[in-house]
Amino acid sequence: MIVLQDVEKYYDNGTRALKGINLTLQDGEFAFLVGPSGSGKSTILKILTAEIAPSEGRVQVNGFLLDDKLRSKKKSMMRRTLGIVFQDFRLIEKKTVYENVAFAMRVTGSPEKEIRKRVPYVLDLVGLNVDTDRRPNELSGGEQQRVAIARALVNNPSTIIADEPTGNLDPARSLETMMLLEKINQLGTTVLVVTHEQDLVQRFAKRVISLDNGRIISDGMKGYVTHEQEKAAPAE
Amino acid sequence: MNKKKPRRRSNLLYYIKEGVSSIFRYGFMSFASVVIIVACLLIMGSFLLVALNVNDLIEEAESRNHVVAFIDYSLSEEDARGLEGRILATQNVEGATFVSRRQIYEEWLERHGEEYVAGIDEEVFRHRFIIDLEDIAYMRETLPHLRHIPGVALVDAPIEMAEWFVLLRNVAAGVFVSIVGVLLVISIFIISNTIKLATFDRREEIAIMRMVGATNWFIRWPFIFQGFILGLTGAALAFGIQWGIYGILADLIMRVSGGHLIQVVSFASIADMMIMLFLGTGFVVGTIGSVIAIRNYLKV
Ligand SMILES: Nc1ncnc2c1ncn2[C@@H]1O[C@H](COP(=O)(O)OP(=O)(O)O)[C@@H](O)[C@H]1O
Ligand SMILES: [Mg+2]
Repeated sequence: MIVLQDVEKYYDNGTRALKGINLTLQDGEFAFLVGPSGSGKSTILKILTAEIAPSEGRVQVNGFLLDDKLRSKKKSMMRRTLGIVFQDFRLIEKKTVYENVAFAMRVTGSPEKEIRKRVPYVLDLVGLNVDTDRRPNELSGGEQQRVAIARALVNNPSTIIADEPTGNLDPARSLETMMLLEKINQLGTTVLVVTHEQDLVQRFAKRVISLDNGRIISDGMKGYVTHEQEKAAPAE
Repeated sequence: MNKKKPRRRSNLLYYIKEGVSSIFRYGFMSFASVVIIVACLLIMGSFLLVALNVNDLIEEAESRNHVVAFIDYSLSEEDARGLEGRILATQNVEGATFVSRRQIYEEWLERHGEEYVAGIDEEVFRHRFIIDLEDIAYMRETLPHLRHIPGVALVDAPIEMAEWFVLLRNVAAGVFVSIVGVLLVISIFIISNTIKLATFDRREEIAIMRMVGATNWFIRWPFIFQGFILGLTGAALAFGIQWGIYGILADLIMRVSGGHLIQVVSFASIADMMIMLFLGTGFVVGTIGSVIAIRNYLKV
């Protein structure tokens, strides 16, 4: 479970990126986090992954309280409950597809025997039908994102957090990637996806948390509401 | 309990494997690190070997720096001999040998012949003690204590000579410490730069490790291993080279001197000490180098 209570974030340069964020994501939920560029989406994700600390408020992620007293060891343990996916995939170019996924298990201390069983399983789960001895740059964007999702899944996290996972993909690949995340959610993993692609969001009947200028302006199942639509609405 | 053990071992293997692969990936820097460690240890080792070999010579030379305490004319030989206890009780005195005026007189006779000594009475000479000091560096401080012993008339000491020896000793030690110190600092600097380069090159990999929940120590250990493998490799190489060079030199000296003049300390007799010293230094240098590198680069 993810809980943010009255979260504020000021960056060192004085930018107030988040203003009183209250948000709860139950286990097994799927939610989109949407909003225009600069609205604070990435800031929320960075707080959830303990890359940065909130300036004020309370943040709880899968049982870990993310305050500035969080020890580095605990931080690592918290991150093992998360699978993180980025727009730019962040695969290691020197490693093969197989090694990129196995790497996540190896560096968290999984025994080799377990790695050999688990990696093919998740590669199959994400529907990657390529030679796993190939390097990331020999794959298409959609395939690379599948590898990244496989890596996020391989340590069996309870939550997947994706920051613009379809930002570098064409519409067809984007839809496939969202459907893959939906499938993963149906298998029991909580999923939080940041995106600004309205068309894509509207194809799924999911919870949409809408952010603007550091504030949550809507949160519900209805679909994507842009800032412009919000402003336009009263005039109608 | 038996679930944790194989995991530990596989982690250790992982650290070593990663450390070694990093060494080969930055081959030139690793080579430079090892070369500088070898140079450092060879200089250190050579100094020590020279010191061990000349130590006997120096001790021999230093022991010639006797202090002579002349005894008052009024004391009989028996009374004079009685001062030995007081002299030996003086701080920094190691030993004292009594020489009577009779012995001195006879030495003179022997050395210069009857005619030269004719007319010189035995009474002209004083009874005396030839005194060995524990440390000639404190000769100047020891003299007043000897002079103030009742019955001691005069004290003669080669103070300038002693101070020259002490100066030589201190200069040699100073040169040794500063050369080795500078080389150690350079070694640490080069190792830490090699490792910094490795951490910088792998920053994306490190970011991913963090992201998937690798612990800080899991991220750091390979770099620490990289450092101390470099250090230990340098130490092992330096030891082998030192042994080889020393063997050749010792052989040469023994052959030239016919084995009479100089007795060379055998390397085998000090090999244990040398290898411990080399490996210890290599380990410390390698580890400090990597700790400096990761302290700057792998912040929590
Ligand atoms: N490291 C930073 N230092 C200062 N300001 C930042 C930093 N990161 C983001 N910001 C600012 O915080 C606000 C929110 O940014 P971000 O969370 O990246 O938005 P989004 O992901 O929705 O585009 C923006 O005004 C941005 O300029
Ligand atoms: Mg962003």
